[in-house]
Amino acid sequence: MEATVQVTHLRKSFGPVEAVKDVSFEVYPGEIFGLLGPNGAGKTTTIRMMLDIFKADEGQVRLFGDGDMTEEKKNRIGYLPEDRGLYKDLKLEPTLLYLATLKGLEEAVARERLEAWLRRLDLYEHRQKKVQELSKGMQQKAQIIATLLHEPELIVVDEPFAGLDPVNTRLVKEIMEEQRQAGRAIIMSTHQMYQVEALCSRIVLISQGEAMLYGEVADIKRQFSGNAVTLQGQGDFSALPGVLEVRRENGAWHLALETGVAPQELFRALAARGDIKIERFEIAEPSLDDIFIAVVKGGAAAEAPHA
Amino acid sequence: MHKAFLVARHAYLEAVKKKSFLIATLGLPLLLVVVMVIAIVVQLSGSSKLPLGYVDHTGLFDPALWDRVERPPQVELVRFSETSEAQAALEAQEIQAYYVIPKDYLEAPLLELYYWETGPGELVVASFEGFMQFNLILQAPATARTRLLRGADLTIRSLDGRRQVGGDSFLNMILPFAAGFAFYFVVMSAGGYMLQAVTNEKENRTIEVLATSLSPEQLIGGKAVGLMAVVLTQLLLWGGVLVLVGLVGARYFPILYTLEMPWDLIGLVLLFFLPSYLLVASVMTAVGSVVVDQQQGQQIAGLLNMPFIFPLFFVGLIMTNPNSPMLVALTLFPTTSFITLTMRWGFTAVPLWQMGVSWVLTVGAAALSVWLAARLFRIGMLQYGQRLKLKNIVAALREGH
Repeated sequence: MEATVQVTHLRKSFGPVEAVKDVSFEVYPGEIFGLLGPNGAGKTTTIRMMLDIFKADEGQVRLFGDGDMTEEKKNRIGYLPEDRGLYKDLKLEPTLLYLATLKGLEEAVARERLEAWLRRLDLYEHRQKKVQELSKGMQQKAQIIATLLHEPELIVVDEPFAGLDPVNTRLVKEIMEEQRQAGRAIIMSTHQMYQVEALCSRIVLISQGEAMLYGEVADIKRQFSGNAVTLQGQGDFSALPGVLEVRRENGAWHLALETGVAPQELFRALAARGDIKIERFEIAEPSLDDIFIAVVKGGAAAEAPHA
Repeated sequence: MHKAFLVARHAYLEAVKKKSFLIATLGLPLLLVVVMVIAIVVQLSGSSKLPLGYVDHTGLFDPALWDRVERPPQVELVRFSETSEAQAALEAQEIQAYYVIPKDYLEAPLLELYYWETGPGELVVASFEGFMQFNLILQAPATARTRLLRGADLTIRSLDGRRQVGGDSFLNMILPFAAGFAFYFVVMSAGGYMLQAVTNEKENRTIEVLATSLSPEQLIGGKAVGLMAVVLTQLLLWGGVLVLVGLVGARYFPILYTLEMPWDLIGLVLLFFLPSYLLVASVMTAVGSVVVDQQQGQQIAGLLNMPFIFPLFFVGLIMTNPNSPMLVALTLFPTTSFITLTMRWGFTAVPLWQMGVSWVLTVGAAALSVWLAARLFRIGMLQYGQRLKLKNIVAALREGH
């Protein structure tokens, strides 16, 4: 199967700041691909280079096969940027129709599809309201419609769940899953790791402008097993050597370990201390959160097999 | 191309639907009509429709010839041979007033005017004076007569003979001045719209979505065309009302008869309009791209308007010495060429070389500023909530993105 997006060794600097040093990945039709990384890692810059908003200093971007970005290719992209907005003093429906026609959609077709979308996302009653009169969540849903109305083959969503309540978050997840099943290639950038875990089959993790992890989520998790432990007991577990992060989960302690620290070492250290009593100690399957922290804070990297 | 059209149409419809636009567009013609109506009412008030009588003791003043002279409709004149007849007609309210022209009028030119409570209106008096002058001129020898009737006709020609200005009417001097002004402010207001449109796009953070739909050139070009169409709509409407008011007004204000259509000036305006507009629009686009929000944009735009409105400080000089080196310089300078040219138009014959050089420089400056604005737009639009520093601007212009 041909990749919808193929990004190879992208590099971009702004003056002395090297925003992206080396990022490569491929995204295929019918998958939700997670683009992860801490703030300022270079995710947005990578997306902007991919979509031809910025020109890359080095490296290559291929969208829908060979060749430069064209208007026809732009019509096949749906983009929900992180810094997003709609014309605040315009009415919702005409605004969405205008944006759809700019994606090459006939106005009549856009109008027909729009009604279904507005009804599904509970915006139909508000279609003649000015955008500024809508709540933040409604505006967010409206922007999701603007991203999808022209049925793009490549969907790029940056923090698609921001500003949504749990009900709408579930709805948007459903929509993303539907789009995936319809064979669209979806790139999702988010900080919400549990959403990534629920939706994405593959990820790339960027830190300080470099791709640190890339591959199947399941493979990556397997590589990082042993990097986290769950324990129950009495005492203070918040400041232990070799531990990157500690959090309470359902009455138990969840500890993410530094790279190179084996769970046995931690167990020995805990057993040697008199102020701590251990009731349960087990090696946890690392969550993406743990892996994220291990990579970003601890500088760990692993080369997962390419998909 | 199609997308640029969509942007233009959207920009046009959105601007035209705004209340501020409706008020500005309909307000001015309305004001014009009101002023015209008031002027006509003042003109007509106190002036009776009754004929004006006169008693001619000299036998020189004949209404028959005067009636054949082409002129706007004025008061009807009735000649009486005796003062008592005129007095009787006045008492019977058949005439509004009467003049008595004494026998020795040519030696001692004094008239007597008789009326009841209110005297004849200004227009009626002026009309009678015209009648008197006409008949007096008829007494002069034939050669002098035509000369006197036509008045002085001064024509200024440029040395190469290709440009000339007729001194036939004050209005023909003032009109290019006013038209230039109007067109100029149209260009500036379209520039203002442009600034608003760009900062609006930036404040609303729509640019990234648009950037994946069309190119910045399509977006900016579409907006510029759409907003120009807005202003042209305004102008067409105003022009229509002006012509209408002129046609109605000519019935009451004879001076409007002397107006001529300044076709050469219209040609000049057409030539300069587009490059001047592009220059202003791209400067405003550049400002809009660099600033954080509309308020800041307007402050900077206020300053940047200066090089465009500079010639307005030289109105006096334009009237007294339209060919002074200062004004020639302003004619050649791209930001001031349009307004200086139109203002000088009625007062002098601007040499052809000045117009040519000025046009070439304006077009060149417009092309350069469009290029600059497109670059600044590309880098500036993604800088939400922060101002581009001069250092960044220079760096970005050098390397481009």
